Amino acid sequence: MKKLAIAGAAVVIILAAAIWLLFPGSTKGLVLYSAVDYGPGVAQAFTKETGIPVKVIELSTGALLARVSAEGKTPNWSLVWFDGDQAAAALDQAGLLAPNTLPRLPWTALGGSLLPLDGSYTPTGVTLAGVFIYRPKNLADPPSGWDDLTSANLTGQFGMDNPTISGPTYPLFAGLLAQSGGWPKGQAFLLALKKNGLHIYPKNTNTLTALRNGDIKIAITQSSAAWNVATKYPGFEVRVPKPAFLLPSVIAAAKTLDPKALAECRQFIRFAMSPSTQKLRMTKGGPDSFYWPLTKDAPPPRAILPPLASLDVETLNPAHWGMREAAINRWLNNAVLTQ
Amino acid sequence: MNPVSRWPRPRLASGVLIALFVTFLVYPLTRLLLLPWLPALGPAGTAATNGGTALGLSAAAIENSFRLALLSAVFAVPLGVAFGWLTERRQWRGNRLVTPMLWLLFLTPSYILTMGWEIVFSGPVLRHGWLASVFFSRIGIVGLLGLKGVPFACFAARSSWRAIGAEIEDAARVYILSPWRRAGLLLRLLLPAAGSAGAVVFVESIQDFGIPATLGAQLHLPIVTYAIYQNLVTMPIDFAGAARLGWSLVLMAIAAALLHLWLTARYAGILVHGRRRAFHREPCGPVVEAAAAAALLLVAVLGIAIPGIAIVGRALQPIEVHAVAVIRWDSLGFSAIYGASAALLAVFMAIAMLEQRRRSSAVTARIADILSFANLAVPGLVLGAAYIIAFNSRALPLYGTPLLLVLAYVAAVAPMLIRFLQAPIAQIHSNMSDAARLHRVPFASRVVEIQAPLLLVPGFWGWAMAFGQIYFELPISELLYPAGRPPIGVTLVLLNQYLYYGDEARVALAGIGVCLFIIGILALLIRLLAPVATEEFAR
Repeated sequence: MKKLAIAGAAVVIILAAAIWLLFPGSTKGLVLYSAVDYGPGVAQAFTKETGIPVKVIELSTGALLARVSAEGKTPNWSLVWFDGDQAAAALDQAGLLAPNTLPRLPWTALGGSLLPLDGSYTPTGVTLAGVFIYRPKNLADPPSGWDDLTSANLTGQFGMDNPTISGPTYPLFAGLLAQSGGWPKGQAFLLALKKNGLHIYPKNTNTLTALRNGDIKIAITQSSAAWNVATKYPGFEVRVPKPAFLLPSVIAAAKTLDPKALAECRQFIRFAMSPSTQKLRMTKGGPDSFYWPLTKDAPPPRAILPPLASLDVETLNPAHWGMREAAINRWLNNAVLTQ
Repeated sequence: MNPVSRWPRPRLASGVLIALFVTFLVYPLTRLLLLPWLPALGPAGTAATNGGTALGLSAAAIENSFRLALLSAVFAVPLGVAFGWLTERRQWRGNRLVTPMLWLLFLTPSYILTMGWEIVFSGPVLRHGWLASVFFSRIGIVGLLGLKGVPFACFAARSSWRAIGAEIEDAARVYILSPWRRAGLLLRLLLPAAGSAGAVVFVESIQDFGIPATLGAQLHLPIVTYAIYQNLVTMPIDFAGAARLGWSLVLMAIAAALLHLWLTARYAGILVHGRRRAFHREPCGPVVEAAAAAALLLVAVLGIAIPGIAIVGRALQPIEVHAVAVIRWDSLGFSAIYGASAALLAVFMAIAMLEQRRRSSAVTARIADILSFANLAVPGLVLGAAYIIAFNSRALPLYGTPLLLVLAYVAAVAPMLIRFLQAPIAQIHSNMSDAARLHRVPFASRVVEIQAPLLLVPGFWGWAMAFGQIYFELPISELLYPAGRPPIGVTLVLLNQYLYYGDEARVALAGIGVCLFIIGILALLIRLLAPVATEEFAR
């Protein structure tokens, strides 16, 4: 009996600890769902400057979109920050984003071209959906364009992430379809890549490991991941293909917020786009810090990045390609990703 | 006044239990699964479907999922039953290694195990060899899923091996001449436990996404969970489509649960009673000893040593200084508290449900049992979404609190615990409690003096299993974790996403260490509390 009382006490201690932990915390302030690595740092700096608390929930892009969609029109979040304006356009079409949250900023020409008409999300920077990363010692003459990947000397030598698992890969496929005649006309080019031995790996980790091991000579990844690897590991170089497809990171506020919370969200977005915060994002971020800014007053991007003006880049219409994501992924799965 | 009937009031207790069970374990998933026909039940204010444009389900995907899961169960159950027999019925030098080895394997999450093997096969020697082609194929997938199932199969079988007293074997020796028929009798008594293990390994395998997606990447093997996953991460997200696909997994799980129930009804026996005599373990013969050593070596090398060394090697990489602080060491503590409390609740719920079923042969208890199995059958991403949709409302505003995360964990592990504890509870003869009741021993005393000592040890090991599973759980955690309190799974995913592989390995190893430490400390405590029962149970 005495021993059981001890056991009972142990159970009570566990439950007491759990109750302490499970007790809901303060509901004041903003809740940021972040799939960009500098999200927590920016939130911390914002709280320090304004006194407005920001709770951050860090997620992968896929989990973030699933969570936001499951919450529907009774969201628990105030702000979302992730890569991909096509997904943002889809959330807007579902009626989940607050309109007119776009701050007035000195946008660059490119930045201005990425702004949504209803101001429902703010592009906070751009990366490229697909670049070539390779080892010069294994590949002296890397391809310069997408058509080169269909040449015989690269048969079976290139790979990329599965677009239906790795979110940022879809814009790349959308771009390839767009430059090959649109959907569904551009299917022929993707089938040609498959015919020439395109490897599909589950996610970035696997693609880059295959490159490092020499299983493939070219990995096609998001530019931020590619330059992060090239910075961390000597012997890798990045080539930007012609054309490259822009992948904006976006921030947006929830539609159902009360006026005070919405005003705080606008304040946060403006803060995130301020020159000092952009400096913070570039210096205190991880792979996501390798982005090109979209405002004229922002500091220059990280030194390893070439000037964006020197690149041949294309912008995809987010509403047009966002609507077709499910259908295109279904076709990719049946026609390209299967043997 | 009759103290026996005065407290507790069985009908009230049953009603509360059923209400809790339906609200937290049945309602969320049922609501999601009904979306294809009742889209109004979807996420508040949005369409539950994107118009059916997302991925459909092919017969090949169902066949692949079914075949991989069945083969994994066929691989895991005999090996688990054999390890259970060795540890419970035979004296063998390797027995001291079996239990810790299986616990280590059980506590290592499948994504860490897969990561270890991926590191191994990324080396220059093995990368292009025949071993790599075997590993990155259906054989490798079944091998890893099966290996992960061996510990549960062993734990489930051990309780039955332990419960078969010497009196049964003695009686068999007297009445049955053929040694084969005697062995057959013992195996028949084990069928409920083997069925439970088989059902759990099968259902956990059909819902696994990570192992087939990683090992089968180059095969582009269509499986059901892959199609579900695509519906849930492709914008616009199609919950109705995911639910439609989820039905195939639920139906497979229900078939497995029905088979298990039939085995239990047909072959279950009352093995723990007042006249049970302890079984004296015999030494192994040379052939058995060699086979046992080979099996132990196989599981230890493939399940622990090789992937473990690879992960330790990666963890020993020089520590990088990151610009971004993503290593949340506090997530080890958060996961420990989430896991401890959810596992405790799940054990209570499993015992209460099993006791409920014992007291009455109610059809509702069996239906509840089968329904709970559906939670195990669907991928965590689906279960997490179901909990958001169900509890993100004014009526039940639990979403966003750690409580909902804990409840979802309970829903995810309760089916496994119900099956694990089924044999230990079913094998306890009711005459022990009945005798006390006839002598007017109050309910509380009967629970404390009779039931609790008998259930303390199996209950603890059930808790430990649930704790280990919850500790590293990933998809439910990602969808439901509250701000500022991330579980370890979320931290590991972020480290992988930011390509901080060395840190990922270090955090994973630290997590396994924390798990083993907590379970070890509590096992010691239980050993002090109930030395005899522990010796019987956890040798």
